[in-house]
Amino acid sequence: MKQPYFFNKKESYLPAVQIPARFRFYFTVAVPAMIILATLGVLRIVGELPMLDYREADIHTAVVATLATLARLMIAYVLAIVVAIPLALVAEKSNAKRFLLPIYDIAQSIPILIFFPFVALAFVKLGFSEGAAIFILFVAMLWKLVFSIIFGLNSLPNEIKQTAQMYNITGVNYLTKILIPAIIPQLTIGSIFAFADGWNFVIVAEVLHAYLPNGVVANDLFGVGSTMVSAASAGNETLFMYSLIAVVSMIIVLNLSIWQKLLSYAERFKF
Amino acid sequence: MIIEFKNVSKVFQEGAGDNLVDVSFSIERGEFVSFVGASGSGKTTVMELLVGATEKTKGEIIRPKKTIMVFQKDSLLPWLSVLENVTLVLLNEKISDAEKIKIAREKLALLQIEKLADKYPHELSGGQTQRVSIARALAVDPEVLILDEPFSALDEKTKEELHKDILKTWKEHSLTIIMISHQIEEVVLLSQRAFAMSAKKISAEIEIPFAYPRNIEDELFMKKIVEIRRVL
Repeated sequence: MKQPYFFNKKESYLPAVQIPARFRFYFTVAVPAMIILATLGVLRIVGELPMLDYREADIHTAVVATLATLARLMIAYVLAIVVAIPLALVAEKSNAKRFLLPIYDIAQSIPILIFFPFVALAFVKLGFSEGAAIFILFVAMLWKLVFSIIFGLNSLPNEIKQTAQMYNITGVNYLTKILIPAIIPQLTIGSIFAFADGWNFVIVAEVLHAYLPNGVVANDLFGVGSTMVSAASAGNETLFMYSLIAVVSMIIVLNLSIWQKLLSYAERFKF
Repeated sequence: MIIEFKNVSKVFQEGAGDNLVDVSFSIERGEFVSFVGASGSGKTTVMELLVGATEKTKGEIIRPKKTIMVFQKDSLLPWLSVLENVTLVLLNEKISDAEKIKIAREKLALLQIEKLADKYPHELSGGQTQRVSIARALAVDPEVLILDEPFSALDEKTKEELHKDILKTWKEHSLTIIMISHQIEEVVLLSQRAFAMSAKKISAEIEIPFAYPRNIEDELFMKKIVEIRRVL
């Protein structure tokens, strides 16, 4: 006899990870493992990179640079999700909505790149310039995710809220059985937009950092942006083209292997 | 008496036309009562006050704790199967998981939908969805069951079948049922008493003292429809 999943102690209580069989291996094992390994591997490679001679660098540099950029994006995205969900849930509480939503609205409308010089200097002083890029990316992604989640929470039908109240489904049960699954469609769409913005910001950040300070090429924010701009200035058009092809290919692969599949999975959470 | 409203008002906005003013009525345990009226007549506000979804502005409301409302639509969670939707409302009950599943299956069987246990809401017809919602409500053993326009989106055949099932459930469970409807024929077919609502007030209370099953072609049945229509 098939049991409701929330009675099955072997499975998670989170409906969001109650994944249909055809997606289960893919989303629970293959994708996270691929992302974690890629992130750890790339950070290790980048940490040990010598100063590159961009006149002679080849396709290998373009691929590693693209993976380094992706690793930054992944770290910022995970941090943004972890912060965005509680921020949105707090703002959705009726007594906090009145003053928190205008604050969020102002915060999200401030162009994030104006902070870049200050943030970059602060993190460079701390000896962690990688943190500057991740922080900028995190903030850029955060508000897209927060507002997507708020939109998802607002689209929860009143009948569902009243049903939960009538049946006394409150606290953790309300959060995990109703709220989090209900935001999955909007969270997926918000994630796609946040990631798209992230690519723009991270490449700009890497390009800017490659020329800081005073035109001296810096290698401590190595990524596809810095590689492209360094290749162009070193006259290595082949490396520039390889980098361009690598980043476009990576975006297509991510879209087909993760975002499209997530969009399809999110359909079952729509009202 | 299981439910009583004493001079209950609900003010949404001072001076606005959507306020509920000075509503009084009482309902006995085991009765099948309907609230009938046009859209915007205040029926839904009365029901929301009954289930505690909104707070009264003044007056007194007596109601049992286990008052459950079955909505017209959108009350099943699309990511849960039929069985999971029913057992979800039993999460707080201090009984074993096996017992919860047993109760859920019993209620599904009562409404003749036990075969749908592993289906998802998007795979169900309108009538099946309403049956699941009713089975879920029965799972918590309610004292009062409120049906909000339960048949409005259903075809005639499904409606007829569901009418029979609801009357059977009402009798077998000695339930108190309150139905909201704008279809007078349906109200006369199912209820023992009806409150006609217009302009945010109860405009009349009508007794419907016919035996079940009722015949819609009966002369008295038709007269009752005319009587209710007049007071709306």
